[in-house]
This record gives sequence, structure tokens and C-alpha cells, in this order.
Amino acid sequence: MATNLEFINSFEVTGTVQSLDCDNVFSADYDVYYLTVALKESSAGNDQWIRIRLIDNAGSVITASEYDYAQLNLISNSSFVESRATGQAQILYGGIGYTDDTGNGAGLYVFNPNDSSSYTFLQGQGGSTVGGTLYGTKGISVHKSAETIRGINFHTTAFWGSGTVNVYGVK
Amino acid sequence: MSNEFGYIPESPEQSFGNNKGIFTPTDIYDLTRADKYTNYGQLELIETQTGTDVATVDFTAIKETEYNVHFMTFNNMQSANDNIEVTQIQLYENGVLETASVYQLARQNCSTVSFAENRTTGSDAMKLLGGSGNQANEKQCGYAYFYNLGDSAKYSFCTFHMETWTSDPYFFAGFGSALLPQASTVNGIRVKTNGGNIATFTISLYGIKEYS
Repeated sequence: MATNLEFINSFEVTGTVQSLDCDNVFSADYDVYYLTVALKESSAGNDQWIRIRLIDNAGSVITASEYDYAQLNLISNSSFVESRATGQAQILYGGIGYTDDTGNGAGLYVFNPNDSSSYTFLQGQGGSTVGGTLYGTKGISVHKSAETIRGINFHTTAFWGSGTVNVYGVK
Repeated sequence: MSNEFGYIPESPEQSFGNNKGIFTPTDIYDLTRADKYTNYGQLELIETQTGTDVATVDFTAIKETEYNVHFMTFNNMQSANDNIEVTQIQLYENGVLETASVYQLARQNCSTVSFAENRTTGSDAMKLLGGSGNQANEKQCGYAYFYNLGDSAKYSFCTFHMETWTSDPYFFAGFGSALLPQASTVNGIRVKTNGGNIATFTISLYGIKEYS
């Protein structure tokens, strides 16, 4: 049973970027990781998702179509929406970073990234707002290649102007 | 606090995960207080409350200036009355409890009977799950994360996942997100029901420590 979190590293958006690498955070020290994710867009009107890719053992962001995901988008004033796909080049992730809100919050669990004989599995849950309306998300995803993963990349088609990702090992 | 640590005259810069030298107990004490000594265990217990037959459970020392993310666990939650929402959350803004219908909620209900969406933009609380009973085993448990509580420039978000053996009875769970859409400093959390006392409860609040 997991009993505590151990801080590994913190990654902060500096300048205006479309991508944030959290490299060299997964190791043999832990099987499960917890990340807090708060990323915020830098210009109004883009309203794009946070997307995830993993970083392989050589330090390269994996762009192959090896990701599956299933996510429920929970909206406080309209019907919930399913987002799901297989064989994608990235994971659609919650915790959307819009400009017209006042912050957001999300957490992400990553399982078995350092195990070269296992797929890497992820679970995420978050909250954000669009025009003052709550957009919650809860999703699962998998990287369907048994290989050693050493980091995680967050990216968007818009731009981020601020934000922080903290990475913890679950002990 | 001394600028010298580890008997190294150059006084190397110390930080979490990057301590150099040999440390005296005083060094460790000073560096720990300055958040510069490597101590693992970043899920830090703030407070556990347990008891019976109370109207509300208040957490009023949540250390909102130390943590950006809070984690709360609920166990053995049972209502005195039948078919009650036993884990409603209200937040204190600068010591004032927000009771107006300003909270937003988006929750997916899952049960052995049916699935349903529960959503609102004007609730008087974050209603994590209903259906609690007052008979044996009709208890609720789960967890919630809170984000940005101490940040006066940001809204306060919550994500949660709860489950219960209901008053009907059947197995019932809900997960989702909740929001206090007001940029304010939240310095307290209230747990309440929508009718009658909380009969039994064990609630723990943790902070998730960050380092920059």
C-alpha cells in the first residue's frame, strides 16, 4: 500500500511555449508516480487541450501512434462528453489551460514507466473553466509499447505563458 | 540562521535534493525550517478528525499558504438520517463560510443500478455523493483533491471520487469535479450533510509539499 509521496522535481513554464518536457523523472526507485499539473494559456481564444507524450530511455519524445485514451469530460451546465481513441500520436489530457479562467488544477498517476517489459498506464483527473463554466475531466490512457520511459512531455497547439508540473514518487 | 553548513567554509548553496556536507542537528533543524533539507515524505498530514454525531466538521487550520494542493480522505462516513448527502463541502473565504449557491459541480454517478450525470452551476455546496444510509454497513468513503485554495488570484477547484453502500441498499459511486468560482483565499473546509448529523466519520486532510 502506498504510504507517502516523495518529491522528485518541479518544472515551470518560462516564457511562451507550446511544450514542456519533464525529463529524467521516472526511474527504478518507484513503480507509481503522481503529478500535479497546472498549465495556463498565454493568449485568449485558443482554448486548446493539454496533450501528453512520453519520453523514451534515450531522451526522445515518443511521437509514434502508440497511445490509446478514454476520457469523460464533465461539464457543469451541459451533457458530459466522451473523448476516446486508439492508435494516437498523443494522449488527450484533462486539466485544460484556458486564459479566460482563474487557474485550474489536475492530478495524474503514471504506472510502470520504468518497467521495460510493461506498457505505461496513466490516470488523470482535473478541473478548469471555460467562460466561467466548470469543465472537469477524468481519463485513462496507455502507451502500448513495452519499453523504459524516463519522462513525460506536455504540449498544446496554443501557447502556455505560465504553469507548473510537480512530479512525486509514490512510496 | 547560519550561512555555513556541513563544516564546509565556502557554505555551498543548499536546496531540497541537493545538500552537501556533514550536518549537525542544528544545521538540519535550520535547513528543514527553510525548506532546504532533503526530507522525503511530501504527503504531509495536516489533521485527522474522527468522531460521532456532529452537525459539521470544520478544518480551520489548513496551512493554505504552504500547500497549493490539498488531499482529503473520508472514511466510515455515515449519516444519522436516511438517504442523506453525508459529504457536502463548503469553503471558508478569509474565515467567512461561503453558503450561497455559487458552487459548480459535474459528477458522474455509477452504481449497480444505473449511471447518471449530476451537474449544476448554482449549488450551495460541493456535493460529493448522496444516498448515504444510517443502517449497518451503509457508509461512505473516498477522497478529494483541492487546488489553489490559498491563492487569492485563482478559483478553488476540487476533484473527487467517492463510493457508498446506499440506504436502498446498493453499491453507488461518483467521481467528478467541483468549483468555487471566486478568486479568493480559502482558509477552511467544512464537511456537512444536507439534513441532520454526521453519525460517524474519520476525515484526514493532507498537504502536498512542493519545492521550486
